[in-house]
Amino acid sequence: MRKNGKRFISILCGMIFLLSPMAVRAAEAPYQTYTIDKWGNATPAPDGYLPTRSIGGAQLGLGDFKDASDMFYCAEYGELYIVDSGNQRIVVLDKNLQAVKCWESLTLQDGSDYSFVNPQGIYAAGEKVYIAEMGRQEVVVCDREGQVSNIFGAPVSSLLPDNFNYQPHKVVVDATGRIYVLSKGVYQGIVYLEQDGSFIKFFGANEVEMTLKRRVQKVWKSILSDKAAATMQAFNPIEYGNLFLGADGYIYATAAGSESRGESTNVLTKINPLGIDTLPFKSRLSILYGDVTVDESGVITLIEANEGTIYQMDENGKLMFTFGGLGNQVGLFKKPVSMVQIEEKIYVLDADKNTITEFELTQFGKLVRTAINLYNEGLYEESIEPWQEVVRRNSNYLLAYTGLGKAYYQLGEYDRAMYYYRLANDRANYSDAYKEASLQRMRDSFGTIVLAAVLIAAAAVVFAKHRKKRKGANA
Amino acid sequence: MNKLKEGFKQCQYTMFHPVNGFDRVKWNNEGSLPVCCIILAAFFLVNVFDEVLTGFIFNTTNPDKISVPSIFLITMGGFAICYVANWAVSSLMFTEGKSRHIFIMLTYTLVPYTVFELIYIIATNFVNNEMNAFLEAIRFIGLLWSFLILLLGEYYVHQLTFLQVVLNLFLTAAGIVVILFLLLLGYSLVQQIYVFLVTIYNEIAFRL
Repeated sequence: MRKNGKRFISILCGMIFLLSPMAVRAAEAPYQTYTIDKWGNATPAPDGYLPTRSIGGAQLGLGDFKDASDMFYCAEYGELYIVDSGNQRIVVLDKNLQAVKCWESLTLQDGSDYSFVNPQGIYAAGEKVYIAEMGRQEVVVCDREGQVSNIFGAPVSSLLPDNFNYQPHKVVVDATGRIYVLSKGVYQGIVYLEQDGSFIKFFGANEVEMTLKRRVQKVWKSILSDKAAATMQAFNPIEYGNLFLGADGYIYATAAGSESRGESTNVLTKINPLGIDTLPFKSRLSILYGDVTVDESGVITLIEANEGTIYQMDENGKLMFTFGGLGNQVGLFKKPVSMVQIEEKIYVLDADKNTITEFELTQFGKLVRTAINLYNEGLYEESIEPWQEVVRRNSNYLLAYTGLGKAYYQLGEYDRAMYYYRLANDRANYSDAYKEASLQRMRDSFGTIVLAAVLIAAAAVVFAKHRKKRKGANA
Repeated sequence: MNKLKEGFKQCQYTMFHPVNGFDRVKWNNEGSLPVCCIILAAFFLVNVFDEVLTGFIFNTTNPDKISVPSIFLITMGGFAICYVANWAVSSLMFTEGKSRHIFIMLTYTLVPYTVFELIYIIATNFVNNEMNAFLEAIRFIGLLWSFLILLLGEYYVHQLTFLQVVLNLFLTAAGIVVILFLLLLGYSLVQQIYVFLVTIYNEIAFRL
């Protein structure tokens, strides 16, 4: 009996052990996603993205990455290029993150090897791959097999300053084959090259805003001698840190430094082909964006370099999701440097952890994306249902209220649109809806107003006549 | 009741005929203090309404941050400081304004601002933001009118020349700064004395 009891207890223990929820892999993020509420306060929100896996060079069978600096995804061939600067090589993966090839060196036209010194940036367009080789101060163009076709050294032009030091670290190529190169320490703008590598001009320099501090400095400079004035801080724009060519042909650039006290810089610019910033929202923040990527529907994803947070916002700068942060867990970073979006997944390259982290949209995230995409396509009525579902899950999600407001506005239901704009605290749109609503009300009651006016006029005429008659009778 | 009615009539008359109005305040002892108190109350209320009742399109105040006591302190305290500063400066300048006249003059100054602000608040509930310029114009007219009343009030109540009026206003502004400074000083002094006494009490309490 005693023996049986012991066995019973051990079986029971085993059962408890087996049935305990230890094996459940809870998909919980190591970070707290937040959204911004009506009054600018951060409020906790459901996660939009969750980390699914983290891959290092060793897992690919290539040995650990070292100081990897850039990533580029070529959608045409489904190839993900990684610049592994510390190991002086380029690693190419497919979109499932399986190693395809690894270039330790390229092949020159005469058959000899071209070895890397310090590759920093990469861009692939069609058959051509452009590599910004900072160590050799040149941009190398090769085909997808690693056969070098062109090497563009430091540009030569009378437009360039005498002490021009070419340090190419990021490269982007537009549809016409013109090359945009970021050179370290060049504040004049992006180095803009012709297809054959000849210098055209500096493109789209960041704006310098005349803040109060700068105005005071300007006055001082005019008073002081030239020699003394030269020692003062120059009014140079902040150089760019990273580039991204959007599907719409606009170049998104992040500033390499953020605003300091009394100064003001655009930390993100959207440069049109004329070189003018057309970002529809203000980006003057004390934030340092490391990299930017923008998808077809205009959703902007940014890495905040200091805190390792990733911000995703719609094309008007309304915050959609935040994720990531600094730390050791999967989904947190130590030094996030580059980011690509492959379909709906986001991949972040960490130069310190030497890993690529994959983030996938959650159900909530997918819902928001669906609604935004529907709205952008002009399917307002269809976007109402996903937005309502978003609100059911997170009633603090202002973007959903704006979306609902816009949808009802387009459908002509202005009162309802006003209700949602009010919830979203969107005064400009509320005003538009209010205008339409009052116009509509006026139109609807126009008949009544005219009828009332006519009746009153008729009554007045009749009354006047009646009085006249009585007066006449009295007289 | 009749007296109040008369007071309001006097105020209304002064708004449109400030020269005669202030002359009568000074020499015929017209103008009633209860009416002035009602004007002050209205001024305070309009400042509250400004944050609470302004139409959604024009109202950027966070409702969680509205504090009626602090509005009261700012409006009434501000008025009190202006009044004291002007009285003090006028006494130092040997002007002819009495405290009663200064009080009436300063409250009358608030009338156009209060009325136009009220019109603005009501209007914001019925227009969209394309009318913003008109609304700002309404507010500006109110401020301008108030300023004119203040200038003419100073002129006739204190019997000053124009330059002296400017000087008086400037010195009043300086006086406000001095009073605020003294208040701050007094506040920190009281606080330090309080801390000192509490410390002494504690020391004694620990040793007993």
